[in-house]
Parts: sequence; structure tokens; C-alpha cells
Amino acid sequence: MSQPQTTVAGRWPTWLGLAGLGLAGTAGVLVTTVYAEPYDPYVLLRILVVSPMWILTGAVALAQRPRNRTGIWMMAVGLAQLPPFLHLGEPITYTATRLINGLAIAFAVHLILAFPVGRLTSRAARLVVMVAYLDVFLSGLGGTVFTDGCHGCPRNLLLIQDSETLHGVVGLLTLPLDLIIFGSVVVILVHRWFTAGRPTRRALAPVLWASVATAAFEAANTVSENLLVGSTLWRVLGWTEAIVVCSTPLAFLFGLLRARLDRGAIADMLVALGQDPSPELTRAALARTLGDPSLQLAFWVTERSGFVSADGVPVDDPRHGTDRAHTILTADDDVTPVAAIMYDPVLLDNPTLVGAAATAARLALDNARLQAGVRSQLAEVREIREQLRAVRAAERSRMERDLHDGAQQRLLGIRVALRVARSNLTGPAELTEFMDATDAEVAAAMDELRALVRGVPRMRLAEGGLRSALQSVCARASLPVRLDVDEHRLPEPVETAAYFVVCEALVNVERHARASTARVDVTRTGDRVVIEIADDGVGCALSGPGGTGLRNMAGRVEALSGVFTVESRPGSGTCVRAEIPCG
Amino acid sequence: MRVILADDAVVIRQGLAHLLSAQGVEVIAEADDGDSLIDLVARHGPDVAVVDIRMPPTYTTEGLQATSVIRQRHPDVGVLVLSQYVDVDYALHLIGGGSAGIGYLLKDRIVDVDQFVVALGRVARGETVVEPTLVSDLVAGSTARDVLAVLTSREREVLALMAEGLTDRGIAARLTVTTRTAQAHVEAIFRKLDLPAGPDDNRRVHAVLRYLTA
Repeated sequence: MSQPQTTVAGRWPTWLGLAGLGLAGTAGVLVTTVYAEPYDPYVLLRILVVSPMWILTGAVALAQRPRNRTGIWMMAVGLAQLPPFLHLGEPITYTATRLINGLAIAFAVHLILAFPVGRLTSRAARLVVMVAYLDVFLSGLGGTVFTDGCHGCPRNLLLIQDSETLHGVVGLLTLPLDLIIFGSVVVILVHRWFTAGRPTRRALAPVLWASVATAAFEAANTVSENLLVGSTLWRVLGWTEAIVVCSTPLAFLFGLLRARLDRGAIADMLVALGQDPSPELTRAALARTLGDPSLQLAFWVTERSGFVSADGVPVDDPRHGTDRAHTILTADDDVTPVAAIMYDPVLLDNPTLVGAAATAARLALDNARLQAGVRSQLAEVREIREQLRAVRAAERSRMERDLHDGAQQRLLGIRVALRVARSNLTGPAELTEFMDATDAEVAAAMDELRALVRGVPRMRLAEGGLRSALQSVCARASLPVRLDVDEHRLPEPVETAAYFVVCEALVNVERHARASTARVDVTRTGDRVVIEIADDGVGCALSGPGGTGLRNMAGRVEALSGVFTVESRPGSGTCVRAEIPCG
Repeated sequence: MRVILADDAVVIRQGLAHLLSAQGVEVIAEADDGDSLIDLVARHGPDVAVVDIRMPPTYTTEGLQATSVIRQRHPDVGVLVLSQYVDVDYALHLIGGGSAGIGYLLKDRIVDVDQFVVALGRVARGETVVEPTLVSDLVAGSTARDVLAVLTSREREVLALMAEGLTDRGIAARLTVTTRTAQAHVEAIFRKLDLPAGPDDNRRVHAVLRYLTA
């Protein structure tokens, strides 16, 4: 079996990462030595620690998950924090960087909403991100146009008027937008958590924790700013916040790579599979290892040219468009499918893991495939047998009906004709007697025909149903039989089998049981029907397969995937029980 | 009494017509399928229509369908349904299906012409007729045995006759007792079996049959 293909990671994340780090370093140097404007330690922290953290983790994420754009957005968050410090003293660049102030936050919103698949998947998310970009643009514009900037900064080219009030007006516009964005992000994340499968949740968890912590710190900041400035608590709060802010990019990376850490679980899976590699257990083990309880297995059966589930039931080909991700395992020729694993699309991120798990489970999968194949064949054989039986039964039923009805009608016609003739007859008494005798013969023939037909269940069953047929059987029994039959019709093969079992069992009761009463119960519960024939006779010591009668009954019941049991103890009666599934 | 016969077997239909005429029953028309039967009943308005369940084209339940139509459109026309086998569910369906004047017998009964004419008369009068062997099967079977244990043997007899559709007078005649006695038995039975008492029409028959099959 060939390894599922993974795309080759290019070297460009490394180059981009190095370039980003270089930029950060440049910014640091500029801020500390070149610029005239004052800076505070947090700015330096931002430039030399936080931004590089994002850039680095973003590069690692891109290298590890090349098909996932999350890495790109992480690097963007890091890089977007640098422009304010790269203006090189020129008014033009300074003004430009003032305009894009806050872009990092928009990128952060984009990153959070696209996590962990790397794309915005819902309309709501796309809308929120658009609003975020708009918000950032507005506040950037407002800030540039109505605020002078700092003492010692280069000239702000777009400054209209340094006015607290006007800036405040812009703030009135952007503040509600801020709140809406914040609220929407929270709602979307909460919704995503509750609708996500396990793999997605595990990826989201670290990010959510980090986001919650950051938000908490922001809130604490805003609240306590005026009270605690300068105190030790303030500094402690500040440094704790810094640590949280620095580790947020790590949280994102951790969440993204989380699936990888479970590689060790594959070893456990191998041990578990070694003990009992049945199809069900294989599926359960793979689901557990990959952390996706909704994982499904399907096996390729050459005879059917299709996939079947673990029970041999045909399933849709996963290659033909489903909303689940799938991996097809092929035979050594790389073309013939062997098995298919269907799972949560989040796992698509880590094809090596899926491939590794599948390889490790190869032996078990082969075994499971064989079992599924055999079950599928068994199911097919049973299907065919049932069809044959149904066809035979229908044929026979038709033949018997034609035979019986035709003959019965004719005999009746003859009796009527004889009556007519006799009523018009005038002649010697011998003739009348002769006609009476003939009539009696015909009547006897009709009785025998009727008895013959009654011995054959299908017509009575087909017309009147199991209940009607069993009523006459029980009425004719040589001992009192209490009958309790569910009045709903059952599928024809089930009714025939039930009729046969009851008749055989009653014959046994009459011949061997020496019972005083018997009872026959046919009850339908859910998707099965239970047929019980019990008597209060002498019982029997059951040993070995039992007589031919019992064997026949068992055979009939088992042919319909039913269960046949006999309970009997010497002296305390017998109970014959058949349980047949009837859909 | 004016009757119409419906059966696709010519020998039986014509033979029966002959036998009935000999007994003074007027056979005004004959039909060989459901549609022509309905047509003839509409045109001639008989007292009773004798219908075989199995008729062309499918030979399954054309007779039952024609019976429903006749009872709907001509509730005063009695219908006597004949069948090769008697089925309790068909019986319940027919008897529960509307006004009285309905019968359900084994086709073999036509050979015993005297009894058949009596049955025709009962149906013409608006009574209900149920095949006796069906009733005896039900009474002898299964659950019936337990639940009927509370009745005396005489009462069991009366119950069977009720199931066959006999009125109180008919029961009295069959058992050679007075109508009063028969009615007393009937009341006792209904009380013991906890059935709602009512007039001796087909609703009673339906109730008893239902009781015996439950």
C-alpha cells in the first residue's frame, strides 16, 4: 500500500521568516538609536519579542502545515506591528504608517475567525472580517487626520486639525464597530466550539484560552488604569500581560500542531488492534487515535465493485462527493482500492498522521476487509436464497390456487347440476338413490380437496393471514390451545415460517408431551416477532440436536436470521421459542 | 323474493338459478362480473343480490367491492356474499360496513337449497347471516375458550347463534324455547361478558364476532 501523498513544503517560509526577523531587528535599532521620539519599554517588547514571536511561529506553522494559510495570517499579525517603527523619519512614510495603524488587529480578527483551517468558511465570518478592516481603516484615518502624533515625531502630512473633539467624533463611530466586532467574534467562536467535532475542538482550545486571557487582561487594564498607575501591582499586571501576549502566538501554533502530538497514540492503537482486529474494533481504534469519533471505515469488495461497511452492507463511494474528508488506501498497484477512511475535514491538515495511522492499522484493516467481504457474501447468499424461496413459494402458491379453485369450482358445479337433474327427475327410486350416491361421492371429493388445501398453508396464509390460519390449526388440535396472535400482518416469509413452526411444535406436543393445555403466542415487538409454543406436559431431556422436527424448525428460523430456542425440563413442560427479525 | 345472481361460473349460476326457481324464488337477472351486477341491481331493484367474492378481471375481491357499492347506493338491497374460504376479517369488514341485510357464507352452502333459501330470506328481511363453521372455529379456538368459561354451555350455544346472525326469535326457534327465554340468555351473556346490550341487529353480530376474535 502506497503512502498517501503529502505536498512538499517549500523553503519560502524560512526566507520570509528570516526577512521578517530582519525587519524586526531593524525596527528595534531604529527606535532605540535613530529616532528622536521617546519610546517606552513596552514598545521595545513589542518590536523585539511579540512581533518576532508571531513571525517565527507563523513560519513554523507554514512549514509544518503548508496547505494551511493560518501560518500566513500569523506572520501577517507579526509583520503588521512593525510599520509604525519603520518610517525612517520621513513624513511620507510616517503618515502612511499612521494610516495603517491597527492593521495588526484586523489581521488578528481574520486569523482567529479562520482558525484552524486557515480560511473563512462562513458568510458571518467573512462579514465580520470585512467590518474589522473597515473599522481599522476608519480609526486609522481618524487618528491620522485629527491627531498630531507625538513630540519629536516626523511631520504628519494628512493632519487637518489636532482636535480631541473631532477625534472623539470618529471614536463614536468606531467604538460601536469595535463592540460589534468583539461581540461577533465571541459569538462565532462559541458557536464553532459547540458545533465542532473533537479534532476541531482540540485545535481551538489553546487559542480560546489565550484569547480569553488576553481579553481579561485588556479589561483589567482599562478598569484599573487610573487606579494603579505606578504601583507595584500595576507593574506585575503589566508583566503578566506581556507574558500572555507573548505566548498567544505559541498558543496558536500549539493548537495547529496538536494533532501531531498524538503520534504516540498510534503505538497504543497497535497494541489494542493486536488483540482483536475485528472491523468494529479497528474503526474504534482509528477513531480514538485520530480523535474523531465520527470516523468511518469502508472496505472494497471486488465482486461488487463497491464499498461495504463493516457488516457487509453496501455504502456510497466516498470518492463521489461527500462533505466528509476521506483517504483511500490502495493495493500495491496504487490503483485498486482496498479500504476507505472517512473523517472530519480538520484532519485533512495532517495527512501524514492519517497515513501513519492507516499504515499501522494495515494488518487489522486487511483482516477487517476480509471479514467484511465474507459478511457481504453471506448477506448476498442469504438474499439470493430468500429470493429463490419467495419465487418458489409464489409459483407453488399460484399453482395450488389454480388447482384447488379450479377443481373446487367444477366439483361444486357438478353438485349443482346433479341437484337440478334430480329435482327434475321422475322415475324409479333406484335412479334417485343413484343420483344421491353420486352427489355424496362428489361431496366427499370436495371435502378431501379442502382437507388437502388446509394442509397447505400458503393460500390460507396469503388470504387470511397468520392469525386466521393459526386459528384453524389450534381449533383442530386434540388439546385446548390458547392462541394469542398479534393482528398485524408480517412479511410473507416470516408468516410462513411462523406457521410452519407452530404446526410442527403442536404436532410434537400432541405426540410426545402428554400435556393438558398448550399456548401459542405470536407477538411483535419493535423490529422482531416472537413466536412461542408452550405446553404443560412432561417435558423432555434435551440432548444433542434434537429430532428432525426440531432441526427443521431451527433451520427455517435461522434461514431468516432468527434465533430458535427450546426450553424443556422433565416434568415441567416445554417451551419452543422463535425470534425472527421482520424489519 | 326477487334475487340477482352474480358468479362468473356459468354452470353454478344457471344451476342455482334453476334450483332457486324451483323453490319459488324469482331470479330476475344474472351477472358475471362486478360492474354488470351493480348495473343490474340499479335497474331491477332486487330484494337480495347473491355475489361471489372472486370474479373477473383479477379474481380476488371484486365481489367485495361491488358489495360496498351496492350497500352505499341501495341500502335496502340485501347482499349475500359467497366465498371458497371464510375469513373472519372479511366477515367483520362486511358486517361492520353499514346497514343490515348482509350475509357471508361458504359457497358450498348453495347445494343445500332449502337452507340456502332460508338464509336468503333472512338477508332479504334485513338480518345478518354468518357462516356457521366460521363461528364454530372461533368459539372452539384459543382465547375464546378462556373468556367463555364464565358462560354456561347453554349460553355458549346462544352466543354462537348470535354470532351466526340469528335474531332472538331465530335463536328461540333453533333451540325450541320461547323468545322470552332466548332474550334472557342473551341479556345474561352480555352482562357476563361486559358487552353493551343493544337490539338484535347486525351491530350485535359485529360486537360478538369482535369479542370472539380479540
